[in-house]
Amino acid sequence: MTVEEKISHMIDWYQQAQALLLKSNLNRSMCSQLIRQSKLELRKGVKEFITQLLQSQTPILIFSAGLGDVIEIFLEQEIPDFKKNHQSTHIVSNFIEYDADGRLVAFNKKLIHPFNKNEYEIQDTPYFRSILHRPNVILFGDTLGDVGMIGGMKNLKHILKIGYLNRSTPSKIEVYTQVFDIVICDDSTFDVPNVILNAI
Amino acid sequence: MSFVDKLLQTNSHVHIRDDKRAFVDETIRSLINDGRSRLHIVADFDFTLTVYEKDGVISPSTYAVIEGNEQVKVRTRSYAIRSNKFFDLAA
Repeated sequence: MTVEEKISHMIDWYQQAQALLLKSNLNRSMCSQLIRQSKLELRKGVKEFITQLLQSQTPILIFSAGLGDVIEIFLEQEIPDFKKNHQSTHIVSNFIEYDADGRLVAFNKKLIHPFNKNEYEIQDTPYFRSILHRPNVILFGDTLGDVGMIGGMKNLKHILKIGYLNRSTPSKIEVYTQVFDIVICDDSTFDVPNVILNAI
Repeated sequence: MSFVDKLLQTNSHVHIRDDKRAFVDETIRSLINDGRSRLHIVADFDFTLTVYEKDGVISPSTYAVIEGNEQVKVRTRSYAIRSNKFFDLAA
């Protein structure tokens, strides 16, 4: 299957998923409750990592083909500093739009899927302006396509790409180390990124 | 000992290609010299900031948190078929 065909099927998948969610009468408080009941879990050390960034006002862009509402509510539940103030954090993802009664009515028009996670998507965001004078970037991803998240960013000076490889095999390590600079295998923690961040 | 040598020595599960080691070392050195005021972070969310599996069970993605819930699932038929199809496409 070509990438174009995959993208077409994928957009189809998202539209079906979103149409079904629209029928489910989901509201923000239910969303919040579902997240609490779920097995969603941050890697150990992510809370410290993000708290450090917030305290030093270092911008972080979370770029996700998933559900932005879940990311935002979950981070608020897990990270007290994030709930207080997350102006330096930006989430580019698929967000639900609610009506005045808090009911789900639509999704944002610009669908983010795994094949369009590139800079094109952040051109018009406040994040884009906040990084104009920050030429250094550390990127984190778990799929090979994630390196595309900085694909079109201009004026970058030093780039460090860190890949999480879940269920690693020697052949996957070979491919991941070609695409990412540092590959972390089968590690449920954020210890290595914290070692690097703490040195900066 | 360089930052990268130390990182690799203390973490056997961390890999850097031999021909990239000098580059990675130089990059980290530059990031340190330039400091946080010149830095920003770009991160994926599902299975990057979140755990991939726990006790052999794959953790949910942000979509699965909502779709996989029983209250929502009754209204979203053939959830499993669609999610499998999605992961085949993304691979």
